Amino acid sequence: MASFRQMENDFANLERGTARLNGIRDAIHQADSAQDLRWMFIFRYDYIEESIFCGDRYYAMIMFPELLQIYDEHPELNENDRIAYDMLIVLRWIVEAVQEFPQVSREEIDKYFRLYKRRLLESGYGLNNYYMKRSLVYMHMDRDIAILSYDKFLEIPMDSMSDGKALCTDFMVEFNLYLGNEEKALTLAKPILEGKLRDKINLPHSTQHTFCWYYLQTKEFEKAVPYMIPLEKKVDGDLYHMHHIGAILSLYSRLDVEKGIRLFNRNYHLYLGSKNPWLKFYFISGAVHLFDSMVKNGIGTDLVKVPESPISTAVAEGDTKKVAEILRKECAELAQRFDKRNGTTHFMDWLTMLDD
Amino acid sequence: MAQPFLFKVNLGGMIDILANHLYSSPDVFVRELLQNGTDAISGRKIFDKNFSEGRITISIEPEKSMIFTDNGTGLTKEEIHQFLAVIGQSSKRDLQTGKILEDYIGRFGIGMLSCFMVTDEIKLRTRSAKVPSHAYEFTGKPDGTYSIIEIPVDSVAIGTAMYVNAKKGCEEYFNEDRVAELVRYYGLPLPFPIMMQSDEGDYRINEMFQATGRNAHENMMQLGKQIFESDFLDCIPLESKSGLFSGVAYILPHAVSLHSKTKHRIYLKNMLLTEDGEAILPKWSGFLRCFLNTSQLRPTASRESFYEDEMLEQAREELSQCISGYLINLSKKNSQLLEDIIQIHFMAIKSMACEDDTFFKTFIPFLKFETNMGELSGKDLLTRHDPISFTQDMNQFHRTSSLMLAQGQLLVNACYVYDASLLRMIQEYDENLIIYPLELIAVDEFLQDPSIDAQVEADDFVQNAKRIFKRFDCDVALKSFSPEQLPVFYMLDENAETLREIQHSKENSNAMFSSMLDAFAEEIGDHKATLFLNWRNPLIRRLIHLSNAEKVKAALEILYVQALLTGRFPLKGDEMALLNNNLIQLIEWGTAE
Repeated sequence: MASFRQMENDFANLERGTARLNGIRDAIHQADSAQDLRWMFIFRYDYIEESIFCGDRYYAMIMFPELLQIYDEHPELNENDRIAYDMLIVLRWIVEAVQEFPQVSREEIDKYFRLYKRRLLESGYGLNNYYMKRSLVYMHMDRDIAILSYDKFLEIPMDSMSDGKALCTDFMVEFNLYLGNEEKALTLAKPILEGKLRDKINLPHSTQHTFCWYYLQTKEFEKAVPYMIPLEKKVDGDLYHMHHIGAILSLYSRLDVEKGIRLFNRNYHLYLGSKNPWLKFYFISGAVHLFDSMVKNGIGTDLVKVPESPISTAVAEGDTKKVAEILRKECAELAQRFDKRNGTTHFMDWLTMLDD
Repeated sequence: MAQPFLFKVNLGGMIDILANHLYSSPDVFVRELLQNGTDAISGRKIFDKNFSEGRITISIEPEKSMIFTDNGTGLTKEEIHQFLAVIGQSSKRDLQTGKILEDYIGRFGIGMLSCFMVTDEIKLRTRSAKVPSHAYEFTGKPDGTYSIIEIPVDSVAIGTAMYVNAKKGCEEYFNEDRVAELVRYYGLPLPFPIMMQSDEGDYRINEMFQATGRNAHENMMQLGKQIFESDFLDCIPLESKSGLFSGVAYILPHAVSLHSKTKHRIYLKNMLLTEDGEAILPKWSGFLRCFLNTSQLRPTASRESFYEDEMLEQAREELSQCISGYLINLSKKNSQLLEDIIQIHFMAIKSMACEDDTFFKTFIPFLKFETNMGELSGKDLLTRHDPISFTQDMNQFHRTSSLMLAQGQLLVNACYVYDASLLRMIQEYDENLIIYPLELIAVDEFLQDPSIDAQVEADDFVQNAKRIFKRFDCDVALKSFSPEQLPVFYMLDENAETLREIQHSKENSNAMFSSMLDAFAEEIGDHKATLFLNWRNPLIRRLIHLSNAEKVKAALEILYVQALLTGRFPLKGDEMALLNNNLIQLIEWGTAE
């Protein structure tokens, strides 16, 4: 049998996403059978990391409780600095991902944040990242908490639990646009967009997406174009960036419907396979905007190519209006779930923002 | 207005920063000397358009001293004060505009300081091409003091000679072989001779190969061996049509991980810029080691990589074309070599095939896929008339491959990077092929129903089994399938598998997460897990006719757990208990008197 180290190296040969998650899951079972605590932890960490960055964060949410239990039940893991740090990193990912699941109540989200805060303080870290994540997560749940947290994030110095400077700057861009400070956001974004501040996974596309998101809301579609074009190249076909694709679909609904349809065709299967309601919402809201625009402009479904799905019959029948209705219904259901949990109207507002 | 003050610079402190923080090793003093000498030669060419005999000469007294001489532009007395005595002032900057002159490599005017890492005194004798009637000797010390004296013009040729004496503990850096190796490392492509004066005769350190002519290929391979100290499968000439780069890519003779970082030698204007090819080479080029010299690309401020601009984009594109062009050509002229390359570097080639239709058509016949019928090539798949199914779940592949094989069904293990994408491309390439993911079909379609008589005969047994496994949310069905040695086969759909994971997590975690996990579980829609009993299996046939209900139950439960283990499913607590209790029961039965 291959060593656990070898098994971990072999993950690199597996296709990112489902195949790799399945491979790591198998490794977890083997480490569990061998009762090898260290590898029981490491493989679960690998699984959550893969789920967060390349697959579907749903699986990270399922695996996280097991990881925490293993860590808490075995003080010897706690004594290993690397593992203790990794545990906090996972918690950092999870507190950000938790908002994406309306199955998790507001109270439970608060619990996750309390857990993160306590663990940071117990481990001697500052709360810079705690406030950053709290501000980010509460942006569409409680504006006051988001602003207060943002101020604390700026006030508390960064430490090794903080996101990198590039990601922090990206968040500042997002938050300034949230507050309507376009000029300040543009200044902050400059080093990211020029490639001087880098991050391998999220930048500069996250920043480009933020501007697309902003100009969609202000309906200044042409201003989004310089951000949208490079963004599309980077995120097309990527489950992890499905929300970015959704924003591009929304923009194409006003800029170039035909390109929008092609982008939709290439990525609709991601939507069908995803278990992440948040990613699904942002993708399908873009599709709603696109098909609404097709209805308005009398464009048929000739160019639409989709696999077997709730819209495939309507597409085959060339009934654009019916497709738009089915998509809107799916999207509205997701929006209602989020808004109900959050106590706001953000998601429904997003869905209807381009309605005439 | 507040009185302005000047910063004071502690030169000793600066040298410490250079030695311990900026430079990776004292060895870099060779690079800095080389860079200054190269820039001096470029400077002389600007000043004198007819000058074409640039040369650097190095003379070493082992473990004691080194003289590093260039016949470049040299320095006037004013320039010595201006450039050598002011830290950060580089002679390569146009003093009028403040801009760096294009032909120069160095930028910051601190290169010479690096010599203090290996010496306690820098001595320099120089005679300017602009004012050849005067020559000077500069002596600088790490405490920041320096002196200049005029020396006879016939004692020094036009250019500059640096005299560096080894300080205590740094003798090892004054070694002919080591310096020659470093010169080659940092400046092999430099277009003028760098000569080493040796007791056994002078020799050129930066001897380059002839890229054209009858022995060009052999020369290139020889160069690769010399630079990277390795044999290679073959080499690929890299010549930019727009003059952005030239060089050679060497094909590694062994497999490398897709994400491993291969070290290259990437030069900018003939001086080493980086060993990291990420910025300029295609992402699939991990199977190559490149020796590349670029001319017009812009370095980043740290001089560790290239500035991201259109020119870099173009260079990247042209490099990709050079490499792919070679491989495509190989498919026509030397398919055996291409097969050897693909055998070793299949990951990189698969990545290329996914990127572009032409690559796909060229490489797909040679690419290999793992299947339940052994390793098959893309050509085998393309010429297949029966349906091809694939899965991206390694466990599912192992669980179902023998079962599907027994029914004559081909199953491809598409868990490996790029395989699923390639299968989709194969489908698009030939629409007559039937390729589908295993998830879209029910494996039980491959399992036959036994005869009506058999179904009637086993009905009570099956109903009993259904009752036993209801608490495990598992249905039971009697089927007839190969291989007959397999008594049971457990199968569940994706939802049922996710549900098992949620239950497993709930069993093994804090109550804090219960409501979230319950909410996830509630949302799982239709799910199905089935234990198939094999009518053809002798054990199952015996169990059907066994009248002892207790023994039937124990046997079925053990078979159920065995099916889970065979399918690599993690056991839940109650399933583990099932195994333990029944094994003890069997032992008791077996040992009862």
